[in-house]
Amino acid sequence: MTTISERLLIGIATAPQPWSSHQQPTQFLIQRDMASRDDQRKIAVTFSQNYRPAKLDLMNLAVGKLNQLLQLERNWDALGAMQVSETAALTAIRWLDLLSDDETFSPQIFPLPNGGVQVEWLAGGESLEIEIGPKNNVGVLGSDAVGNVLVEGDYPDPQGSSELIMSARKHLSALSGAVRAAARSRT
Amino acid sequence: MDDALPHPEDDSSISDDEVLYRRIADYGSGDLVVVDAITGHRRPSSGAFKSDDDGISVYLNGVLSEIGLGPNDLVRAPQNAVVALRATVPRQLSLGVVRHAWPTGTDDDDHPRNAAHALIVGFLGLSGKERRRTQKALAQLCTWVIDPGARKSDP
Repeated sequence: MTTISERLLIGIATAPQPWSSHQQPTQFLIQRDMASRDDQRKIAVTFSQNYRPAKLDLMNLAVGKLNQLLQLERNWDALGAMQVSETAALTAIRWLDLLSDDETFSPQIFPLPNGGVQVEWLAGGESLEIEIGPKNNVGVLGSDAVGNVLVEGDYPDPQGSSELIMSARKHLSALSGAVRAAARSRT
Repeated sequence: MDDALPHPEDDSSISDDEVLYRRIADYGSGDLVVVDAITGHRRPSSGAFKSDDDGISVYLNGVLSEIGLGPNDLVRAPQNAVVALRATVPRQLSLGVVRHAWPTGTDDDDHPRNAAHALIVGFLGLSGKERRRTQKALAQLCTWVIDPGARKSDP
């Protein structure tokens, strides 16, 4: 078990197992079977009981999508793309947890040809993109509808990037608010 | 953007008005298209413009036309999308366009469309921030030519 921060406990297990009370995750727990075949590559995430339902839905959706991407074979784009790395998938989960809240709308998640993943939100032309490389290098780009950059950063470790995280959270919260407002106006 | 110079490798024999087609890969169960949660507008993910070591593969419309081909001939799978850019767009982003006919090491080396193969170059010298901004600009400035996902989502 690795303590990533005071509020977040992540463990990677070689097989699903019951967790003793002192090991219960405070936020979520990533479990991973040792994959012996490519088609077994997947991540499993157990969320703590205090995880709120809306965010739980978002995170489960993301885990499902990432597991789908982990099944892609090499050369999935017919141009020599690498398989999506499990490290990138795990990093995507960490960043989603850091940035999203109960009112965040669902991200769109794409494989990258270098084995990374990209997480994107797009609403009314405004966007936030999290680019995660196969070795955990993370880049963030958020912009308004006319292309002005509002949030931008290159960070290897989200734990050391509090200013970037705060800015990205604020931007994502604004995007989510706009999506809710649009939905209300339609109804 | 208007004052930017093209990348030094740029091939000036390719006119600014030349249309560059870019095939947007799919991965069977999904595509690399991001959908606006408010407007429903679709555009390629900026990840679809991530450069390989040698550049971003595109096809020159002028060459395709000379040999009787068009954007439909770039499609390799039913879910493949095709977008278009004028050559002036990457140039205004300080990138270049170079001819790269008959690339080797692909699984379709002999296909006649490869006579029109070209590369958008100039990503190697960019910082991570510059590269992401440039990729996003390309994704925003391209136009749809073939978008199978749009047909699928039609009412």
